[in-house]
Amino acid sequence: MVKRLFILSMLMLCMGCASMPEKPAAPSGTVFYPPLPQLPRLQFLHSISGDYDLGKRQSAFQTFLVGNPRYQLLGEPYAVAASKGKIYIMDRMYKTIVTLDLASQEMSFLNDHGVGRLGDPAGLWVSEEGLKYVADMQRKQVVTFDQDDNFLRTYGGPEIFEKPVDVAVYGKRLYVVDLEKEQLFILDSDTGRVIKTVGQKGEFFKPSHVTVGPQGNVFITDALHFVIKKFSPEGQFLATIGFHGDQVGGFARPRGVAVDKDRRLYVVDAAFENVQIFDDQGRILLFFGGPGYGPGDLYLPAGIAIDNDNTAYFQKFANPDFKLEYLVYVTNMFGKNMLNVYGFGQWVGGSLSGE
Amino acid sequence: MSLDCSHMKKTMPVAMMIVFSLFSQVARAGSIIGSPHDFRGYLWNRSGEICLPCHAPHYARTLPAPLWNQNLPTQTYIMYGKTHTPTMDAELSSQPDGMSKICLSCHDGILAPETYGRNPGRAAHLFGKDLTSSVLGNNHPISFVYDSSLAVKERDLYDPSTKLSGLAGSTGSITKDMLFSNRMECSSCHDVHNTKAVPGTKLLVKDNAGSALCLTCHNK
Repeated sequence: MVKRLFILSMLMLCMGCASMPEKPAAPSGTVFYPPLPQLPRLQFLHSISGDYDLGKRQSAFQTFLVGNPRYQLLGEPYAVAASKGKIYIMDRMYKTIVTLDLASQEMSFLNDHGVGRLGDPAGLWVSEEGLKYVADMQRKQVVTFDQDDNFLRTYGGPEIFEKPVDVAVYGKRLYVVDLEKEQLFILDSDTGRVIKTVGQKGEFFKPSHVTVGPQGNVFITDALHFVIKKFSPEGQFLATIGFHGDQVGGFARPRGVAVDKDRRLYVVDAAFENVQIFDDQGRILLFFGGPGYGPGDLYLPAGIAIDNDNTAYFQKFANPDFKLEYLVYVTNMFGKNMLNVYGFGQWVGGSLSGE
Repeated sequence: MSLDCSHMKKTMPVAMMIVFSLFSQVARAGSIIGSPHDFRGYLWNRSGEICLPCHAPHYARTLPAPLWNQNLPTQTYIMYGKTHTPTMDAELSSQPDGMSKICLSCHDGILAPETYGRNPGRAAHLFGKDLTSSVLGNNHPISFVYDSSLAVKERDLYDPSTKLSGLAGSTGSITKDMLFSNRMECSSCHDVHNTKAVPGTKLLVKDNAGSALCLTCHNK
């Protein structure tokens, strides 16, 4: 904690002298994927690198009292999740959960302590009710916290996990991927017992991310097989998505995965620095992001989450002719834009020449 | 068939030993073979390819265009973002570029050991403007321009254009042997392909006994 406070205070000290991080000049116009005149499906909306980007501003009176504005910055966002009114970041610099409160425009740090003290947290899952599940590589456990960040309980331990790196939850089941054991564990959320273990020797190589779809199907990033593998809620293998290669639809460094309410699969790739969208047949629909420093570009991206609850907070960034359906968050481990926010939606601006 | 099998059984261990000793010998001689980046021993790597894990294959297959974007100029992705303009580079010189990104895309602290520590290139105030910032702790900055003018500014750095690298078998300067477009990158100190790395080190290009590697550039 002392170290964390030190980093924090150093950061704030630096913030004081550097004020806000300057943003690269944005090319004029709106960033759509695919670009107009084709029918746009996504729009890049906003980048969040700290509370300033949530809209927080220090009043003149506060400045009079405490001096120049001191805004807080994210450190190294890895995983991301959301619930009503909130975005949650697993920050690998602070090694805890950072909550971005969209309504109050405040950024807060989960104060893990005592039995709930996090060691080396990686993956994050947050339920609709705001229950937080953290895959902790050092504790070899999944550690859970309630809506108010109070420690609840743990799952697993060294007798079960070696390096749990990500967790997803569906109903009463926890899905945990272990990077070292190279297995998927299905646990009962009440008893904490392992119901099933998936992955014979050689089946996965460095499984790094897991998510569940709207029907409870499980998707795993098999990182060094360079594919995504799909399983039934019971852990039965269903399909492989993608291939190893630099062509469209392929993967070189597949990372975070997410599934939308229409069963479309989103896959982050840290080498292409983009996100590819596949339909439920595994056919590629679109890719977005791409390398660079401009609006919507990604920089060594890692985590992804889909948010159906908070479009209202971002509608102001959307083109008037683009009606938002849901939000897509992508974390960047480097670069100035730490969390990119995209909107999936409908073009309502009339016919386009590209159609 | 049975004869072949028994023959195999006898010769296999010997063959394996030969292969193994060959590998370890070659590894000592300096090669990616047998190095930490040789992934052939894993069950998943059925083709036995060494290069593929880092260098994604370039197929020339004709694939269907994405259903939502039929007007694609190219079917191939750019690897490790070599697209930024030189002017952008000047402004954001503290960001890891394509060359170091290839390392960082695996070495993120989760998939592979983190090599860059916390937040090295996140923003100019943590990096670049003040290379000696205590925030960096034990982690060396990367992707910054190290040239004669930096050496003048920092004083306790050698001029990389004139100081010899001292790498085994080389009479070249630091700039020539260790920098990439005048920038310090992961590969300035680490030889990912293990062709010249010093055995027993973390793929270092020069033995750091007595801080020799550090003192190549730092005039302390």
